[in-house]
Amino acid sequence: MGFQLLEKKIYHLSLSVQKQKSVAPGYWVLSLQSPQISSAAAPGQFVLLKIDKNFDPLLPRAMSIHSIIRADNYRIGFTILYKVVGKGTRLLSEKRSGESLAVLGPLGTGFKLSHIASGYEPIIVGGGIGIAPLLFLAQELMERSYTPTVFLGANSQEELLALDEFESLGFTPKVSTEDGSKGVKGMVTDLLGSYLEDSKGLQAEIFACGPAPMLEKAASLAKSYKLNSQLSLEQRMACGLGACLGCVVKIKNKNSGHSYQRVCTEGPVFNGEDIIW
Amino acid sequence: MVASSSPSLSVELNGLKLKNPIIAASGTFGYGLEYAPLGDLGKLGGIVTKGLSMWEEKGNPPPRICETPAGMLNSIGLDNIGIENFITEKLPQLIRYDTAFIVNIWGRETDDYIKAAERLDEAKGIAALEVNISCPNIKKGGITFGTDPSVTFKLVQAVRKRTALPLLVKLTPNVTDIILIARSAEDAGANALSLINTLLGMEIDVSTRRPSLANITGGLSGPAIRPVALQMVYQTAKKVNIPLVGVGGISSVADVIKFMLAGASAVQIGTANFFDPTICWRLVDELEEYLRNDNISDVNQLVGAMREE
Ligand SMILES: Cc1cc2nc3c(=O)[nH]c(=O)nc-3n(C[C@H](O)[C@H](O)[C@H](O)COP(=O)(O)OP(=O)(O)OC[C@H]3O[C@@H](n4cnc5c(N)ncnc54)[C@H](O)[C@@H]3O)c2cc1C
Ligand SMILES: Cc1cc2nc3c(=O)[nH]c(=O)nc-3n(C[C@H](O)[C@H](O)[C@H](O)COP(=O)(O)O)c2cc1C
Ligand code: FES
Repeated sequence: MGFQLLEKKIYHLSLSVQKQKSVAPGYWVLSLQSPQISSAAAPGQFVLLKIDKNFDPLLPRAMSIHSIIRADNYRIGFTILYKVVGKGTRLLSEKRSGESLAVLGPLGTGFKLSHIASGYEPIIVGGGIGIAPLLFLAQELMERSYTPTVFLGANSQEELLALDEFESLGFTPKVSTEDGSKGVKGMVTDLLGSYLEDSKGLQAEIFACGPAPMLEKAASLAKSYKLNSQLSLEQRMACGLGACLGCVVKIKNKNSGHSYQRVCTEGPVFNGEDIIW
Repeated sequence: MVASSSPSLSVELNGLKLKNPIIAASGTFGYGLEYAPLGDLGKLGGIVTKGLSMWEEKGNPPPRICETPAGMLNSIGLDNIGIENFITEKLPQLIRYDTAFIVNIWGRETDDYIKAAERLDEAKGIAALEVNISCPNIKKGGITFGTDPSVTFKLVQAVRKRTALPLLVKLTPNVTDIILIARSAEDAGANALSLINTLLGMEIDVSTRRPSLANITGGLSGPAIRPVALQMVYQTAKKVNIPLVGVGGISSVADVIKFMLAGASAVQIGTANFFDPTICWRLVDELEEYLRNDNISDVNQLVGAMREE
């Protein structure tokens, strides 16, 4: 159709489960094969999964792309890392190899990387299940020859996600747990705070995903050290395509006041400074 | 006899011609372009835009949606880009597609609807207007336009005078007797009626003891409301002489056929777009297949054809 804007590639496909693996109690990694979605995907983007063919649950569930599966350097599929929190995610965890799911994606605007200059240090900060989209981001940054500093936080060692994957990519994440069972006891933003304090004047950009209080803290740290931050937000969704206007969050306008922006379209990644908490 | 030739899918809604009876419902298909990556919009019978007003509307604070058994609640609050922006930014991109673009309009007082109709009447590429009368009338103490027969009559008549475009009037189910409202809209000059809009509802999160929507109440849609919508279409079809467009919970070709049998000449697909984003395209194919398998040469033969003995 020769219409550039409309050529955004979004696929609606029935995909069969390649693998479903429990990585911690209540946490799973699901592998789906799809050369199309994985080739079109960028870090921070997500998919919508229609988990059950019937009307319960009715709406599809949003899941970030956790990593890209490759074979001979071709992108052939992707994984999602998720936590069981309700009916939809419980049913998802019961899917086994060969069962199929309707998948819509890739969706949303992910992390902006094009403006990152050499000499800039990308800082990745993940808390809890918020770690999910950050492995793909780390992979992509590495391919672009950047070496991000990685901070991971969780309630406990048991719930600390994807540490092995980051390590096998060659990273040595700085780790905190709230109960002190692994790494430094406390919040991941405390770790981030002392790192920024120790490396004053650092040219860096923060990329974070996690619970809202953690993101708010990350945004305020970024502000006090005059750094840019890109934060991945969540909101309940219906269409995932920008049509229903159901998934909005409050964002500062350029001049004054606020507007509502769609997590599925303008987001899920927003500039930390623009978010009204 | 006609089995081998393609059945005819086109319908005519009293001045509005559609290539097939499958229309995307207001508020569930954006301005159309949002779904363009998934299929050729030109294959659909029509697309109704998000409800537009003469001004840009921010809408309600989040959370705006919440899932309910076989349905969902929304309190979007008529968030929209405004008619002027629609005309300059969206319409030029839409006219590339050979489908009927129906602009849904709303306002807070009669004058808002009048201005909207006048402005859209000048624009090129619009097939019809759909008047959403499920909005509170600020001049009448916030009472919904579409719950009062005489208010409905005056509003539709005022809009009718300002535009030559075919007018669909979108009825609210939150009334005692939908036939009274339907007749008022017909008498005032509506070409066709769309029914139904969402049913009022609410949900509470017991763990937080807070309402699930920031706005507390919202509109219920999805498969849960389908029998209510079907009944209203059936009942109304017997009492008015203009075509009806059935809306409410449609999520399969069987549902499309049900609404047509009950008296609808066309249907709109709403919430189903969210959980089955390519459904509108598939329904066009499946409806054609149904007609062919049943040896029905023209889709209009289904309209009102429910057997009642
Ligand atoms: C862009 C985006 C990316 C996400 N990525 C991941 C991920 O990688 N891994 C992961 O475990 N979770 C992720 N989530 C959250 C995930 O979508 C919810 O946990 C899930 O929808 C819960 O569904 P449920 O049926 O199990 O829970 P229920 O509580 O039964 O869900 C009820 C309703 O609330 C919605 N909902 C509940 N929690 C959330 C939430 N936190 N965010 C959005 N909607 C919610 C559901 O969609 C549903 O409509 C993401 C959310 C968004 C918006
Ligand atoms: C998120 C959402 C937004 C809607 N916005 C509008 C709107 O702007 N104007 C309107 O007339 N109807 C609106 N509707 C109502 C639908 O067009 C339709 O009448 C209703 O949802 C019932 O159909 P369904 O069950 O197929 O969704 C909206 C519905 C939903 C779910
Ligand atoms: S989920 Fe529909 S607009 Fe974002």
